[in-house]
Amino acid sequence: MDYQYIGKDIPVNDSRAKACGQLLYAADLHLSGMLYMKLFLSPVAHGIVRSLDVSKALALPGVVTVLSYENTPDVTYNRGRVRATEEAPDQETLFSRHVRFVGDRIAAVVAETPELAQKAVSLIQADIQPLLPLLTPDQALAQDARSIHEKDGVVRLPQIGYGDYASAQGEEFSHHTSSQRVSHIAMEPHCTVADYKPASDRMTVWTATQSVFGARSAIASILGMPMSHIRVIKTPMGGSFGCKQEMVLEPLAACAAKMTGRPVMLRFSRSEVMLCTMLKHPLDSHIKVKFSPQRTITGLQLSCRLDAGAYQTVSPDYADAISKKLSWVYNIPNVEYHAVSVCTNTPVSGSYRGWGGPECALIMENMMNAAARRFVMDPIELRLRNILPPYATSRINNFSLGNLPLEDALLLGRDRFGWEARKERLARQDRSGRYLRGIGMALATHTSGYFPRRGDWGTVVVKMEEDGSVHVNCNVHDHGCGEVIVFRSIVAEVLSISPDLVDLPEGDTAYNALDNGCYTSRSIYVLGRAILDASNLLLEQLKRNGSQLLGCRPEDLSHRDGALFVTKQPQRRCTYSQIAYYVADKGTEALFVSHTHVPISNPGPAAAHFAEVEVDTYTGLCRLVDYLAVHDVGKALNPALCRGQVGSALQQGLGLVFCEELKLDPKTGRAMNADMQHYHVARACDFSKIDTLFIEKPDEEGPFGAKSVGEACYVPVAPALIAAVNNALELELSDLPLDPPRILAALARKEREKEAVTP
Amino acid sequence: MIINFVLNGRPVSRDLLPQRRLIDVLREDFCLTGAKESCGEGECGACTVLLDGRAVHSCLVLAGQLEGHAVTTIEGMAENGELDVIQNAFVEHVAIQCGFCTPGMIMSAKGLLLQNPDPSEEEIRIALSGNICRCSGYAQIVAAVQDAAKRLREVGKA
Ligand code: FES
Ligand code: FES
Repeated sequence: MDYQYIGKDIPVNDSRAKACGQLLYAADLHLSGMLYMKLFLSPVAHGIVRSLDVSKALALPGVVTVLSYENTPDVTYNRGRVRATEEAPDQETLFSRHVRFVGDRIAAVVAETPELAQKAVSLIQADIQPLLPLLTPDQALAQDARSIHEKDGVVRLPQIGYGDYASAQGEEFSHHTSSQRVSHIAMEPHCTVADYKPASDRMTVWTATQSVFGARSAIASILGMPMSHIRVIKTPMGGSFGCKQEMVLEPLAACAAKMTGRPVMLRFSRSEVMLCTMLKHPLDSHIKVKFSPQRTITGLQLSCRLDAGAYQTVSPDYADAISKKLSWVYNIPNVEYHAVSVCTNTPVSGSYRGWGGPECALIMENMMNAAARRFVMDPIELRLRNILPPYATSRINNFSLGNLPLEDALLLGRDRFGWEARKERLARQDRSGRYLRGIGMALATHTSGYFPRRGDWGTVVVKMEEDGSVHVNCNVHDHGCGEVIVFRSIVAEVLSISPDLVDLPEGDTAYNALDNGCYTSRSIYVLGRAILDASNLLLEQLKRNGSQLLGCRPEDLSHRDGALFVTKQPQRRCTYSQIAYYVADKGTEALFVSHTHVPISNPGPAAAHFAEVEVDTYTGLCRLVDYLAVHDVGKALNPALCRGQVGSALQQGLGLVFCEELKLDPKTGRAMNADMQHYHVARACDFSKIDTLFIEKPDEEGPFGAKSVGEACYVPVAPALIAAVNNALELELSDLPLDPPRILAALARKEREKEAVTP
Repeated sequence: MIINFVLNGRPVSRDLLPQRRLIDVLREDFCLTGAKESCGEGECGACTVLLDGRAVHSCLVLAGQLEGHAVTTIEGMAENGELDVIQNAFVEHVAIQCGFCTPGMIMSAKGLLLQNPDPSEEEIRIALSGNICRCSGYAQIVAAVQDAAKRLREVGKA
């Protein structure tokens, strides 16, 4: 099928403004009379504030007010809750006397300038009675984390699964995987501007959130305001990767605006982002898998422990999500899943790109690669014996995974990467040298929406203006990866007009219908389909009116480049603009379509990643040599942006595996590297060529056949890289990160073991 | 103290506290918000501007250091609304996603091409290593800089 705009590398809609520095992010906004807010954070991991002295701060000229647990609403909430009816533990307040981690909020200053606010914060004095900090899940579990929270300090999920693991036959294989605290490092630090007008009791909030309605719901419930008095507008987002999903800054800035009656900006520094928003969960997992003599899986038992940090927020749901993703790749007749989410006196864990999918893949794929080594089998072969066929049903939550071309992904990848040739070349490498190379791979799927979970709808209004240009109203939250241009391209394709003529502003509670926001990689599959259907409805309306204008039947008409024409007599034509004026003059209807799409499917995009890595055995440093990502995307609506997603997934995966970790002092719980000087991410010089291959077997329901890609591409990265390192070193490492100290220690251990057997 | 410097080609003279950071001066006093703050300590490159044609982190430069020097920001790149060659290359190569790193990336690229009009891929990657992008994996950015360098060499100006 030849498309005009779909499948083309179209730059993101606002890239010219971005290239000129003209696009305004939240931190670039300036409202007259705007004040600046700075937080006063707990210096201890656990304690009770005995007394708080803010008098010196208040006395500083230019300081307008100080907020603390003494003068702000004592409403407990869950920062991850999008709708008030969602069940989730309420443990957090705007400010707290009981401080639960280094970085917990005690108070905040609002002042005329950011510098003054910062200075005033340093004048606040808190007398804190220290409590014993529980810094690890082990410490917390020993007392059910009761000193941290009276309730829900530890959440144990009921057993999840099907079949009966105990009675499954076969050789049992156990494996262990753990991973560390990681920060999202979206380049834009969090920022919210809130403006409150006391006379009319109206609040407007500008914020780079993934859910304007979630932010509104949190503000309404904490400040006790009618939702109709609150307007939340999404600002351009400088990346999220999950870090702008939970409601952290919005209620704080709104509260300060309400107290002062003036606009307030709350902008986090990089350290505050790392400490006071969310991190990727530290994970500990033990898996047992039984294999038949043919090396097919007969059963799986997994237990996971997530360190939720000081507040549960979304962690129980996260633990649950790992289980859902267990039966999406391999055919596993018996599954038993246990999970516990434990609060500790550490920074809060929360959503991170993939919502449990990367954790699930890390555990499963590490296990599969280790099993392949144990069985002396090729890891691709082991997978081929176990993968689900197309249109398999997820046995854990009972829905079709769609055309799921796992086998294609494996075979195409094996070929394209030259897997066998590389294997042979590496088998001949000189193992006594300083540098050792290895290859590894991993397989994964992900979601394209929430389905079969409820709450996954998309409502769209599409209207045509008198000049034939189009305005779309939909609750879109572009994270910066280009959804808006893809949506505009969808409208443009249906109507055959330039994407430039389509306006599609982002989330705004004043205009959009209720929507949960952009999570779970749902935007393209759910909102994209809603936009596609609505555009088709508008086209029908155009044809109905165009047929009146041209004196023919609607079905006689075709459309191209902003005009309708009689298919058999192309000279009989009228432009969309002429139709728009015709409709306006008629005065009986508007070129306006409102449509709600409720998905009935949720295909898993298949992904196979392949890596070659070189390890410097002297320094323990690893270097990426080659990388191939094979992705079933249904249809690459904008291949350049899909490749961008894969590149960013690799950038983050390299960090997760080799260098990123927010380290806490084991005694005090204080972060030791909460800044970019000490927290390292992959840079341009750390990359080599990334090869991306798309499989485009259209999904039946997705717009133009598309499935998700944004999170799916992050899911298999880490296990593929780990496998390559293990292949290079002939080791079984599965505790992240594989940073130089860990690699050198493993090599030294191996050396000692070798010496022990060969005296 | 009165500080005289050239900003985007125009001489300016302002009363500034010498210890203020250049990024704050640009963003607050001149409403030039193209330079972004992401780390505040010279590690991410989002705040990159040119100082006498060399890429610097504006979060590490102080107002007192500006006397007699020339500062170019991302806002000074386009002429009469026409994007400059590097800016165009970034747009065309889809090297811009969330865009938060973009102004800094473009200024670092500009600084590189002023020093070295014909950089190898490795030289580009090293020159951009002070600029973090979390959205792209750098491939499109490197391609954009390579292409911009080629186009600039063709027209004979870097
Ligand atoms: S903000 Fe200046 S280098 Fe990061
Ligand atoms: S485009 Fe988002 S950080 Fe580079």
